[in-house]
Amino acid sequence: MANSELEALKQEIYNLARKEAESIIKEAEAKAKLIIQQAKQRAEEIIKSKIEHALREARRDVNLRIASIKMKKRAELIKIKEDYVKKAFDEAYKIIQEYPLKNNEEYKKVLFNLMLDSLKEIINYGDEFIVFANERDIILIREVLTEVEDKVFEMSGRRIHISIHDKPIASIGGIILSTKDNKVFFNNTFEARLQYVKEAYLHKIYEMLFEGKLNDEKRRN
Amino acid sequence: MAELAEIDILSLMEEERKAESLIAEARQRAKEIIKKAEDEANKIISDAEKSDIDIKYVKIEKAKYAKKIELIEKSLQEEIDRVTRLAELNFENTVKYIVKVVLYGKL
Repeated sequence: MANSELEALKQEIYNLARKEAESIIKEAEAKAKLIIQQAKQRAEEIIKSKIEHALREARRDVNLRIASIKMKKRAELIKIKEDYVKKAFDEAYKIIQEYPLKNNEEYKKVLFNLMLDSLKEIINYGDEFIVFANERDIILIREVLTEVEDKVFEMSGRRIHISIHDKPIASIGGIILSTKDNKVFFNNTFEARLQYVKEAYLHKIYEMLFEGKLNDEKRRN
Repeated sequence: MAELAEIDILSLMEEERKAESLIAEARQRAKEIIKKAEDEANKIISDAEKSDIDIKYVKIEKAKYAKKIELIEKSLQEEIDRVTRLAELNFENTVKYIVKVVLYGKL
């Protein structure tokens, strides 16, 4: 073999080896690039997932906070309303308690009407009735008793008899009317009437106290 | 001529050995390249896992909602104040109404 042929063959061997080496490196570099690319993609997913999770938690916290504030403020509002309603009834109680002292003549008319109202409720259970009242009202009832009996006669043609129970009841005013045998009675004391108003008129009281427009709101509209 | 041929073969074998060595070096280098890439990939993932970027996002999100919360609270407080003012305004009439119903009402 000529020297030049040998050199050419050696060069060929070298070239093939170099090409293969280059190919191995290129392949490794491409694989490395892919590994990094996949890692970056995975990292992006991790970050995205972390952010999404954190944001979900943050929004959940915010919603809980909002719900808690709303609940607290609603409870505060309910308490304020209840307090005002109670205050209104307490104030009304005081006025009713003092009313007979300040309006004696007018109060007699109130008692007269209360007796007529009570009679309407239980008049079908007899002709003889007993009226119970507090010490002050017993005196006033005595003054209107005959008038009540006459009014009933005038209205229904029935002659009834009402007697006053000697023992005064503990009440701020009003009456309890009972049949003579005490089997049927109608409680028309102010305590009972207040309680009834509390139950039956509560919605109306709420409306009166808390609905409507304030002056500045009226001006705005 | 036969001697020369033997020398040629030896020389070629030496060249082949060199070639194999070159390829072996390339394979070694390739392994290193991949190992380095794997290490870097692991670091990228580990950094992502350790990242506290989510805290920054939470701060921004909460700041965004803080204003909303403030507005809700303010609006509810305004309703309370409004109801309180109405109650003060209507209180006397309501008491008068209760007294009237208790004293004169047909219950």
